[in-house]
Amino acid sequence: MESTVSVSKGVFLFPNGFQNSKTLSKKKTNLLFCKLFQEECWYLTYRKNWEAIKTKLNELNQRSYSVLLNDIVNYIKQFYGSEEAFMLEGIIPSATLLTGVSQPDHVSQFDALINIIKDEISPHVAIVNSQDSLSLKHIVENMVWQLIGNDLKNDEECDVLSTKHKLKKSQCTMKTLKTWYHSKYTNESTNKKKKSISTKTLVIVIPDFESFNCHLLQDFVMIISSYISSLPIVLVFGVATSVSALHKSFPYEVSSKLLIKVFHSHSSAVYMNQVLEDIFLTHTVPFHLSGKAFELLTDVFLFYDFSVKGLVQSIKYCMMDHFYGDNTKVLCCKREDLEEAILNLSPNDLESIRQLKSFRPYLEKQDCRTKISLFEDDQYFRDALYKELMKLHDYLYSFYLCVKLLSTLIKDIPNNLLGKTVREVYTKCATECITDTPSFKECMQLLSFQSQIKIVDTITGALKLLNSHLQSVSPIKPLQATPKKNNNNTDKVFAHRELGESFAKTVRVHLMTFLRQLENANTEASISTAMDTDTNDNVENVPGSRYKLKEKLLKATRVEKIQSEFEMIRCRFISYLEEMFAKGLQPPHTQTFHEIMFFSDISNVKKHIVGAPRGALHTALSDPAHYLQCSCCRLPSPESVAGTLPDVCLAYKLHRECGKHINLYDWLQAFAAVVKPGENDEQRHHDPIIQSRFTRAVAELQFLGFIKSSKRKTDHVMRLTW
Amino acid sequence: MDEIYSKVVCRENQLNDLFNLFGDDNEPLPCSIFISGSMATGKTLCLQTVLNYLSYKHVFVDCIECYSSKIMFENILSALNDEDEDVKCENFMDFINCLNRLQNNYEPIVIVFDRVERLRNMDQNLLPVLLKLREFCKLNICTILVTHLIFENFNFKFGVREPIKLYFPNYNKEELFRIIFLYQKSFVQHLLNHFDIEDETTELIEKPELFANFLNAFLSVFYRPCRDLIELKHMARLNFIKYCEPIIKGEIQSNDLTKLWRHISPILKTSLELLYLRISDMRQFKPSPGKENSESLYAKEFCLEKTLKDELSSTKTFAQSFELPYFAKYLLIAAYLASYNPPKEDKRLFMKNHGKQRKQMRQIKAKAKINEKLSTQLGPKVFTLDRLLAIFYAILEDKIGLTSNLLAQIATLVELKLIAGSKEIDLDTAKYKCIVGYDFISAIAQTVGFNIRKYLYDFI
Repeated sequence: MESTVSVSKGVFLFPNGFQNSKTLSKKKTNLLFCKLFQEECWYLTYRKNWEAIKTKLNELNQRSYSVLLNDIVNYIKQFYGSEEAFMLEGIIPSATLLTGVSQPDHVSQFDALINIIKDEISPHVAIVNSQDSLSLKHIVENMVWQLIGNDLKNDEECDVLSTKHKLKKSQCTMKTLKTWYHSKYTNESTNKKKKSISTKTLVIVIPDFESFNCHLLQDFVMIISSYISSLPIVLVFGVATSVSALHKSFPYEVSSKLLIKVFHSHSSAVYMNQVLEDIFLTHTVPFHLSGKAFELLTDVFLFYDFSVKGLVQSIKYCMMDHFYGDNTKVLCCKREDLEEAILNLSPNDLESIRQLKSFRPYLEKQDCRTKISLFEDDQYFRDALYKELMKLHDYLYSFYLCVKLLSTLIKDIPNNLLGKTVREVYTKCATECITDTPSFKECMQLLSFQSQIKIVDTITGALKLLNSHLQSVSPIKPLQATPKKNNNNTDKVFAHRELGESFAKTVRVHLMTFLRQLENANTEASISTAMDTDTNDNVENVPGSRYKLKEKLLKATRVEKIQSEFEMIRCRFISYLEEMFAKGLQPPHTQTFHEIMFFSDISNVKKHIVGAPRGALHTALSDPAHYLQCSCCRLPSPESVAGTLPDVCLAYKLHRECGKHINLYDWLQAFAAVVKPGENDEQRHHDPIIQSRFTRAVAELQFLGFIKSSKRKTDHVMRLTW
Repeated sequence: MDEIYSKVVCRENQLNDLFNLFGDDNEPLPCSIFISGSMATGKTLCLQTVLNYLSYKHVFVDCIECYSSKIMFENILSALNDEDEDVKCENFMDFINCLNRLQNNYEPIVIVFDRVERLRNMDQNLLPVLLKLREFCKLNICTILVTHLIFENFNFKFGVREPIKLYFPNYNKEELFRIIFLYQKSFVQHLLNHFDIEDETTELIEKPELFANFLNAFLSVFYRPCRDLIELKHMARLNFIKYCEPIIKGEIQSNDLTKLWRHISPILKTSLELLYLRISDMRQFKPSPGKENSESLYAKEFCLEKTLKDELSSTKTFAQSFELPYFAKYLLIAAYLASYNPPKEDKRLFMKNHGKQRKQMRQIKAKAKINEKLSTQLGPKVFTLDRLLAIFYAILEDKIGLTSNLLAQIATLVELKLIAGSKEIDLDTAKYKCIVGYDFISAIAQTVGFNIRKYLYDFI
């Protein structure tokens, strides 16, 4: 410690750079973290995947917001553009945006709104949040500060430093706003008389209407209404519940100052479906969620919070968990990068891949030699791995296609056996082999009762989907090329492929023919022989398994004597569908190496995503070994007590045996009896060490909120949990 | 003077009073005047016209805006100062000093405090001092307090100099008619802005008789529920357009009064429901270019407006349109049950083996007595967090853990103003109250397939 030269007594400050070192160290750790992960290839793959998802998400957001936001912007624009005469009586135009109950999602929406307003209407936008508006003073100051402050910044950029003096926040009043506005716009307009209309609207956004104190908002609205004659202000309210919330919190003298126009935004369930279908349930993102994990996440969404942002964050968490510290997950990447990724794998990584569970069934299918070489020869294994992963990619492609097809086909079927949306169908398909389930069979049966028009409609819908699916992958010419040729080509290239794009193409061809037949089909009963020739014609178009099918169908026709042509074809169509789906909708866990692309470790993630604070507290206190991992706290049963436990746990356990009121003296005695079992009853609770330990434990329990002291009985505490 | 009377109609007495009070140029002003009268009765308008006419120096201060007295003082001073300079004034002493520094040869100054009821919550010596401001400074100054409250509502702690009181009564029907009739020109102009009409029909519409007829019809419907001039003016503007629509289209002759009445009366009745709501009428906005053809847009907007009306009118549809997560709905139901059931009955309502309850004669009688005031109609009672959670778990069939997400939902419900209480979840102090009505909750319960009547004490 340095000494001072000062004679007087006092406290002296010796700056030793402590603050500095703290921030420095913080930065360092951050860097360290980055560096640590930067070199790991799993981290790189993770980052790449996440970036891809993020960009897609942003695009989707932009698309889904744009319509709504444009409406609002047009509304605001119109107001001060045309009808000046209408605004005589101090009425504030205001847009009310009904946003839905999930609050976290709104932030991005309002950000987008503000950006659009800034670009298209005026640079003067203020956003007033409820957190920083404790009083009217705060609201007004905050608003004026934002309105003027943003402008000052712009001015400085443009080097027009007319208003040199920096504003203090306490100076921000409506008066300053008014003078500022007039000096800015009326002066300009008198200088350049042509630009007299260029006065810019002031937009004030209030994103979370419900959480405001409504008296404050009332006053705020009244203030603004008294200035509306000199300042063109537009209010934008974000209301989570409904318009009547607005009317409930404003008395009529306030609401008569507003002109409200209501805008509805998407419901969050729709939004979630969109996000899931467009981003996560496609083959383009290499990371996939297994059926169970997917169900967990959607349940959290539907049952708890309706927050899409939360959903995306939990998917991100799953991704992190999936990739963390595991180099084999490098293979979870796009098809194009697969070859390189496999080459970069170290022998250790290969070994851990060999230990994957889904490798075993694959292995059992091979003969002895290949088995040995799969284990011994890394290069050979790499090749096999590549092939299998390619297959997996193909499988994914057709799997998602089939899921979507199935969901479009059964969309109109009554009582929703498999669910209405793609995500529901997906969960079903990914957990079990759907074609074996009774509900699938029932669906197919119901499909086979559909009328001609309806079935044609569904097929056209399915075809549209197929085409868009095919186009999104690669720019293939749609259908002009004869199906045969296409098939041949693909057969040559990927001789081993049964699924993937070629699968999609054959499905398309089949659907096309069915569509044509169904459209032309006669609903009247006709003799089956005539139809036979018909089918023969068609069958020649398509190669493959159709022959088998035809045999089956012929059998079927023999059973039912008289059928119309349409019914015939419909029946064939259904059985074709069954066959196709049976091929395409194998559940993911039957595939070799599915662990690489699919995340299924839900039990681990569940703890983190669906946190249970009370449960955790309870386990920590009743079974400390669960967290402490020490040998001294192991208990034979969760109810038993031991002296080796931490004091809080002991006190907690003892208090669980009591009723609503706990006598402290009895409690202390019980406590002492457990801690020092050997000693004499009278003495042990006189021991000051035990007393202080007990007091501390009780204080800790009170801090945790399990007990509270009552005034009625001074030597008792009240229990608060059950 | 006549000019003023024609401008401010139906307020002759008040205007005369004001003129008498202000007197002539050389007389001193009264020390303070207190003007009361409900909204939109022309208080501010009268003051403004009188002061402008007399060309006294005057300031209007809106007291809502003055969340601190500093702002008020600075506003007044900068308005009284002719030079444009920044005035700094922290407290009353500064204010009076600044006033004294004003050089004026005893010229009259009037300070008007609008919505003065706001000042009651500020320093309690502020109003009394304002009332006798002239005694503090050597100026011919007069303070006018304008409010919708009466003077007795200003509970002054110590004696004040009683101001001269002036009361502005509400307008009656004839007066309202006369006043709205003044705006005939602007109404017609407004109408013409929205339709392109041929000259002949324009002439027809511009006829004052037509407007008078409309106003008669309009006031006969609207005078009962609403006396507020501003609101009436707003509604009249909206409805006048509809009134004139058949004339413009040529369906009804402009002098066929019965037909016009038959046309407008249902419209007026429906728009009565929208009174005070100020939902912007979509048709006033021309559809933006570059969108679909206006026809379909028009139809869509119309339909939207209709749903909005429905949504506002019935809580049931409103509740069904309400989008809440599944468990949040159950939490809300549990909160409702906790609020409207007596805690004593919880055991009987929510447990399977609650044992038989002996019906005592006394109880039955007591219940019959309060039968008229069911507890569902008595308003919500306060409940604690653990009671809420206990009921929640009792009514929910599937077992779920008490997770942080669930607890966060309670905070969300509080945020959405469906439950009143503190946002923090605290084990011992948290007290809540469910603030939604029975209609709402039964609609919510219906969406999750829950029979709420089974669990309400009133209905057993």
